[in-house]
Amino acid sequence: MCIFLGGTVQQPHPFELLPHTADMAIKVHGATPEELFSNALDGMFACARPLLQQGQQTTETITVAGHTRESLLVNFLSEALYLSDVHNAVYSVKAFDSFSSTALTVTLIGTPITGFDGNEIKAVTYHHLAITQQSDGPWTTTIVFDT
Amino acid sequence: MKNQQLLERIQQELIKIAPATYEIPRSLSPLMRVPARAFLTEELLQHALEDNSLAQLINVATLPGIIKSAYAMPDIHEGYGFPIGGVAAMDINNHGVISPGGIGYDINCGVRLLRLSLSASEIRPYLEKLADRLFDAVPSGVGQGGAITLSYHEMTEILAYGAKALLHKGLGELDDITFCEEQGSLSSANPEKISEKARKRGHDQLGTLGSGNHFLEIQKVEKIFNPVAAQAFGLEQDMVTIMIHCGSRGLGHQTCTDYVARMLPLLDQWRISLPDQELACAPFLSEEGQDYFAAMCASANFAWANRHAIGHAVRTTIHDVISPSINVTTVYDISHNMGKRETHTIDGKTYDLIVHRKGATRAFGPGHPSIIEQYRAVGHPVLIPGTMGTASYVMVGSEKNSAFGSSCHGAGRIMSRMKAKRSIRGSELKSALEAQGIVVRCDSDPGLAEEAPQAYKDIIEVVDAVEQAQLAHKVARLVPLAVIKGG
Repeated sequence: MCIFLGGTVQQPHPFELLPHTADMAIKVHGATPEELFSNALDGMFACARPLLQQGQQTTETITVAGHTRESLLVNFLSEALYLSDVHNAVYSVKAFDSFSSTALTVTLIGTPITGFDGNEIKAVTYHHLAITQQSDGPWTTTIVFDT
Repeated sequence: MKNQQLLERIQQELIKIAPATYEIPRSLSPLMRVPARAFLTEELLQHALEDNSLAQLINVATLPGIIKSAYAMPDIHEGYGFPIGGVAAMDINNHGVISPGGIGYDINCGVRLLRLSLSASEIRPYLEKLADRLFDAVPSGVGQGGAITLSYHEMTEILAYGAKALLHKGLGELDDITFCEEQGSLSSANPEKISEKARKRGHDQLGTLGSGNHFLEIQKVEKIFNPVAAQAFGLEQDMVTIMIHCGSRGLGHQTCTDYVARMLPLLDQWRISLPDQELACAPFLSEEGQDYFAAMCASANFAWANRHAIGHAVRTTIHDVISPSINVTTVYDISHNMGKRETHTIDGKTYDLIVHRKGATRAFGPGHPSIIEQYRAVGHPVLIPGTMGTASYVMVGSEKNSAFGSSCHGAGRIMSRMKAKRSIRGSELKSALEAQGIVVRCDSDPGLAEEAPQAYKDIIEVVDAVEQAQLAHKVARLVPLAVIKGG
């Protein structure tokens, strides 16, 4: 379940599930933009409740661009969603090879799955998406997924 | 995240102009190009005020080229960009835009209704076995591939020709095409405008339902309201029907994602300023607008092929389990996430429009030339799936429809999936449905809980609003005998 995973007031949890009438929404936190993106990826797949399969993990290196930081996040998560659909795997960040506000290259670790026990995520949306930083503190955003 | 101040202003400025019809005047916001009109009873209005759907409707009313009004159907609820249950038409010759969000990620999500030459009492002994076999024959659930894996060439054929491509290969019957909106194929489709990613996502998903609120339901005709229209549709009291609700699967979802990403960086170039990024759009006549429309049509063709394939699997299963002599006939297949290029006359002037229907269907009145010949005299069929354990409705478009010939597509959610899973136990819901004599096949208790009737508006209230607003008229009520769905 992608609700609280522990954390203190100073270190908010990576992501939490939010109520949304027709779809799925998460609120994500990160100490840095890279961590925010990494936690968003974990949150997205956690919401879909993957059924992990015994098998070899894979790696996948992708390059994504966006004209804003928000579009970069959406495009990053959308690319991971595409990979998940065609490779029957869920992905997490191994390392960012490069990261700016409009482009990134990242190596992902893929874990095979047999399916999902939760809702099919059709797409990552821009609904209520606004990446903000709390005065030199953590970065945060809400992401709504179409299900 | 409701904008409480805006909601209060909406409540103050809302004007009731007709039965189940409210208008939000342009005076509410200087950015509104047209008023917003919502087809709601007082009870449904209270639901609409509990989320941001009316605020989203106001945003739709700001889009370039929008004409007449932005419309909210009775089942309206918050979406992203457009509300779900939203209708908007843009004047193609007045900088009108096409917006992927106004059609939805699940392009051509829709409903196919089949009728059987069998009564409810005749099918009862076979229901359990039929439900088991259909659960196997029509894959549902998340990430499930289907029985049909397409080669690159086969996918190209389907993107170009839709359900007709499958009929050509011997799958299905001619009437499955005849009684399908657009005969299951939009000629403006261009397979080249579908990305490789979309192709890859869809290549093994033909013949699958998907999850969430997608389902296959065995029903019976419980009540006939309009005997003339029912006869035209071939529906009789106590007749068995089967309803299929699904769309374009990963291919459509990816196509919408691709084009939103393509349009957003170009908004400044077109001098389009949006209150919500999910309203990403392009002038219909621009290269991007035309590419998206061609891709949308191709995705729609994939969805029709999908429902055609599922219909064929249903027919084959019926013949195998019960008897090959049972007629399984398509009543109609209707889309509820679509953009259509249509001609409409407003105040005596004819306009070339791109009509967005997101969570809304066509509902033209009797005599409209777009209605298939066999149904033209009675009007456009409207299929409204209800919630599990309640009822679905067959309606027919009204000659007095004032919303570009549009109607609603379902009951509309009022409870989040999270709340539904927390407050409703799927196992108890299953027991309750089974106590009503409804056979249930679902591989996920949480998935069942999410789709509980309590999570949706009252379908009777929604259908009554459709009648009161003169969008469409009731023809028949269908009640479930068996429900098959994914998680």
